Amino acid sequence: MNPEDQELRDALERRAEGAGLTPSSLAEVQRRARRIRRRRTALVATGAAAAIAVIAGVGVAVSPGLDHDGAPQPSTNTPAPLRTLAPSASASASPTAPPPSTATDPSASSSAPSLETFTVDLDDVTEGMGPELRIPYWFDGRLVDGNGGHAVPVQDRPQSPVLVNGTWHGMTTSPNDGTVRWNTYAADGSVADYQQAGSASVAVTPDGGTYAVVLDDGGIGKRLRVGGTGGSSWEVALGAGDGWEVAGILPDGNVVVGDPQGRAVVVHKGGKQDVLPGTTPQAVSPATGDIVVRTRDLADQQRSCWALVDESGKRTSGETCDYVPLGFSADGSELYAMDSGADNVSEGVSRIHLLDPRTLHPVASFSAAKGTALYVEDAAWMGDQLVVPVRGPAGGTLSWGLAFVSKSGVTIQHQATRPARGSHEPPYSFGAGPLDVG
Amino acid sequence: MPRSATRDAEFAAYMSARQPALLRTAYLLTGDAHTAEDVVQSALAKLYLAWEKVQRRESLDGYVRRILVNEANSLFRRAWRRRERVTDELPERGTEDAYDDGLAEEVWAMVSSLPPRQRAVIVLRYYEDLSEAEIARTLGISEGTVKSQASRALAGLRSGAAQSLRNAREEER
Repeated sequence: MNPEDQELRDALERRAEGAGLTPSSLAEVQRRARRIRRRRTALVATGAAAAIAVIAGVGVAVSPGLDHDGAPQPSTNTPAPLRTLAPSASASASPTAPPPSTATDPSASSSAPSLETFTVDLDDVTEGMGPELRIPYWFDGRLVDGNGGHAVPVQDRPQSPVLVNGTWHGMTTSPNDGTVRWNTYAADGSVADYQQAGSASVAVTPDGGTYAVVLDDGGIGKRLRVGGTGGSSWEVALGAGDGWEVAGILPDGNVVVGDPQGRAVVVHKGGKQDVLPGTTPQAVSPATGDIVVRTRDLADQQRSCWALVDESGKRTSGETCDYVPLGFSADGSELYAMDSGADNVSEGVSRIHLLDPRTLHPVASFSAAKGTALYVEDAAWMGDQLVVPVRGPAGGTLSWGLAFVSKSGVTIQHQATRPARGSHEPPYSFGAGPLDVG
Repeated sequence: MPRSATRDAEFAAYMSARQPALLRTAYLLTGDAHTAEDVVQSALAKLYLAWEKVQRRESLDGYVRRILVNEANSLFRRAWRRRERVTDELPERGTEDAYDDGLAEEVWAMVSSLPPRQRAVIVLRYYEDLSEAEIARTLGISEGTVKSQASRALAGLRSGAAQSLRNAREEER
């Protein structure tokens, strides 16, 4: 090796050794892997074995839902509510975004509703009093219900927090062995009990707090647990294999899951399983019973097509190959979606849409401002508003914030929460409900 | 022990052993600590998803290195990367090195200015100590292209070094 080569080698080694780099934990890598898998499943649909996802958050997959049983607990443990800001829908709305392409299904209505387009910009923060987060949420190390009560300190970000009979539950990933756990939290925030979960997905209904999760019995297989405040808890065996995911709960109490082959399956209380046409169930309307399923793949374009079916398997909507529908509003009248073929979903997307569930045409579209990303996988419905974590520059600083979007516009609730280094995980985790907000 | 737990234990052991080196390589490829951590996390996540498909454990390093390089290169292609890194943090300081006469800093500055592929070739050759064949497999290019890219990169570095030397001599006068 000549001296020149040695100098180059030494320079690189010195530079690399002094860089002060922070390694990721296994749990962080696993969370990122899940996001990548959800993105692949939603966008590319590489095959029947693909796991179903996109619904790791309650609010993403399902309807708003749990009632609050018990009065709020104003105590020293109650954190200040997330900063509340004015609901001026037009504050940051500007008709500048290009309109999205229309749904491609020829059977869909040709008279698409008028389309409103808005820009989401964290710098357009609205000041004053306005909407609070009236859904359960985790933020800044605390779980809080939709009334600002039931505050419990929980350091590890739980996915899908659910409040049942005054007790919090939530999914976490073990830092020790990477497994997913369905936790029951004590009043002091410690984990009072947990069960191994078969997936991170949780579904919740709006009608009194019924939830559905997949639990893992190890070598025995997976089982579906349906429980909550309604007193009609039940469990049935699902079968073996990884990849069982809950998509949502139907109005009659049956549960829609994706099975390890990617099929959409209705699971009845007695354990009967009906396979639906279509695959990869993404969302279920607790009001109408509509189920979002994947109808076909456009392999050459790296896109999939989606439509709604009912519990009997009958098609109830047009088909879209332009959008990936992700979650119904509580009354089933709206469906939020991202662009089909959007890339890097785990690091946010540039556009989200509100679709008409009958035609799957957009009625409102929201484009992120320059340098801003919309974390659609972590969005949740709050009444007729969709709460979306947003990451982008605010006042020249990279920040996390919340956008409240609806057909009439978008309001920014800016938290000025700086992203952790290298992290694309929103500092918020949303639960669902209650339905009767506002 | 459930299969998933066994897999996670194996993966965790690999991650623990290899992540520090991967981070250093990623840092040299991207030139930014924050980005390097992000790229390595993404590469490890993709490896985690493919863990059971990678039958030959001895090929793991090559496999993850390919993901890493692709991730780093894709960053250069994504225009939003520049926007995403808006921050009010002070720019990172150069490496403190009591034995550094300033040469390492200069060499690094020149390596940083190379086009992404040339830079990758240099890092893989002089830091990872890979052969031309291994570099070719990692980057998905021919050995001939590796040679030509390395040659251009080294020529650029020599040219830069010569200029630096001339500047230093002029300053001395």
